[in-house]
Amino acid sequence: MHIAVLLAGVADPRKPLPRPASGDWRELPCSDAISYKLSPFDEAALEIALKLRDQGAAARVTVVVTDGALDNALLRSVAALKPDRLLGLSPPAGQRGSAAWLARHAGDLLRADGAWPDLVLIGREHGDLDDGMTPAYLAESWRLPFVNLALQVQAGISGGWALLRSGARQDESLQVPAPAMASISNDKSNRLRHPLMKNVAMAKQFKFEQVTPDAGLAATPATPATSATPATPATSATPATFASPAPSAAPARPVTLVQAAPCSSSARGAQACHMFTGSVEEQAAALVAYLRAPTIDH
Amino acid sequence: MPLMPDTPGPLSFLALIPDYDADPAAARALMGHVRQQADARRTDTRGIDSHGDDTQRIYVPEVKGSNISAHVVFACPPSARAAALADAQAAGLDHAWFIPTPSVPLQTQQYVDLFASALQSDALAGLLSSALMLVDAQADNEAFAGALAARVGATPLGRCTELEFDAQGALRATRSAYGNRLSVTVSSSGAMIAALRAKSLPTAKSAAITAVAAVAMEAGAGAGAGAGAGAAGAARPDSTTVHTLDDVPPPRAALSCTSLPRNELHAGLDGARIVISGGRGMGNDQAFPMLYDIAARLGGAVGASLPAVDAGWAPVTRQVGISGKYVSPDTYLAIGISGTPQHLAGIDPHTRIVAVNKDPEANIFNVAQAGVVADWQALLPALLRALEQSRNS
Repeated sequence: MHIAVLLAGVADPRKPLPRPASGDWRELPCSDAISYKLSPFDEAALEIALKLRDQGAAARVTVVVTDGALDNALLRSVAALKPDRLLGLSPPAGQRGSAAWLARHAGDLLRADGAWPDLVLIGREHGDLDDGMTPAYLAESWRLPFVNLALQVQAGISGGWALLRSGARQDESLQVPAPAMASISNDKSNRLRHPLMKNVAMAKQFKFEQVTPDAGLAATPATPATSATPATPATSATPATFASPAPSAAPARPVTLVQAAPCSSSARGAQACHMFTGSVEEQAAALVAYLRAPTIDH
Repeated sequence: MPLMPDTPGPLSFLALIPDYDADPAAARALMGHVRQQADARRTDTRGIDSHGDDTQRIYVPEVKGSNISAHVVFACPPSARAAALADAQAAGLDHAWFIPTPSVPLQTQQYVDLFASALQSDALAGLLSSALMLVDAQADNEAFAGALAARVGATPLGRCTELEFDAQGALRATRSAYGNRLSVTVSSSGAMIAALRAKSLPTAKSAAITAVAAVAMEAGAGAGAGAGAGAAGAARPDSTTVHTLDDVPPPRAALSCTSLPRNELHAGLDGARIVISGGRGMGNDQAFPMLYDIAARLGGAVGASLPAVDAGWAPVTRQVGISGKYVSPDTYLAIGISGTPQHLAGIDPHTRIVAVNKDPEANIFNVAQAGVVADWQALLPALLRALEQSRNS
């Protein structure tokens, strides 16, 4: 089985967003000054893929990094976890956050060996410019059965996949035929493992494949190899057919970023915080009185 | 009367409501907002016609070849239809479209099939190319919206906080990015789909319906945004045209699904008046039992930040934040929570925050109305004692 993971680096939340030199925050998505990290959701997706490989449910794991693909530190952190193949697919300026662009180009990359992976995993939010529509958009574009907000994935008893998700009203276990796609949410069971130190050291030597859609695969020399030879032939599985006809709609229109600015510290604005002081018992008593009092507009 | 040239902005506003019964209040709020948007768009088609003699007139041009209209598309069983229609009428929508479904809720991809077929049917296809479609912002709806966008060729705009129109009538959608650290405004055209927290948006009467278009209002003219705002939300109970889409093809087969009992012993976050929330500063899972006890004594519910959920101290169903639940209690007691933008994005701006943190520099104190600088290990037991004493006295 072949599992693919789509990752998108996010700006390191522990660091302030780097102000563009021009002062125009619209240039931030293209900034080289951003230090990228994996989001908790991407970490979860990656961990699930690696776990499935450990369990023998997958023979190989392919990772495609979109946002942050040019951040070598990010790629090394992923490479240290030893996916079988790791590629960067960096959207051009103006296409960051474009689900339509990803659908066109990432799909081609995932099917580079002629067939869909048996499972495509993606974090529930793909990068800093998505808050949850992109995974479903991609799955529908690629006509893959899709499960949203999965927490755990197991190989199905009779093929396919068993996914556990926490829905709005209930928890659910879903059985999905391969090939399929799932967005992954954070859960204590899928916290990303720590890489072995020897793999961290090895990853520092890697050079990474970067794909430019117009030029096709543009692999740079790998010393040592950045990707292992697949152990099994590519699956010939095809996506499930849907009851409805294939999408024939015109592609989505481009989106123009017209304005960008740092958010205020809170939509509620800065507050003058009333601090309860005194001994712990006095503070607790004051808190209780405050919490039990009718809500007063501040 | 001069005709406006073709405008790039939306002409049809559609509230998309898969599974009306899931949250009728959100559905009502969304329909109300669709009506507001349509009214604002009608207002913004007013322009300024300068005759070169310093006289400015206001004219209301016809938008060439089209009318601005407000719609709702429901997928619901017959049992929900009456209530859904009443809400559509109360919102003053022009059209209500019903896709009949079984009484058992469908899966998200099945709703995508139904709505895609409906929107591409002869009845609705004419609206699609210039439609702004809105869904209520919650995870399943956003997946629905993303998939539907792919199917019908719409542009997914994401979870928006504000929708407005520029001078040419083009839509400008504002949303947060970079973990709620950057506010971005995007513009697009054609068919678009966005998610809104409709229940959190101002009502028609109190909203400043934002119009970027410079509309000169002569004294006493009473036209422009003011009139639009006044008209917005006016219910026209008998003016909603009802359509039933009986011939929508059946959706794909459902994925095999087994419901699992949650065995949730404690109150859920939905509708809680007070939320007691724990964060990374708790350090371990020892405190959460105390949080549940405190919440029970205060008649509230327990929440958690993403790091706390990641650490396994609380289930994901209690996660509050940009990637978790959005809560709007009266009071939010944040314990060991630093106050990152990502977390604060999950708390209604009108909720009062009370913070407990051992770090006096924590950002949470910049946004809280009240707080205590203390270690939870000392404070929480004292809080429980104080609650007990308060109950007994």
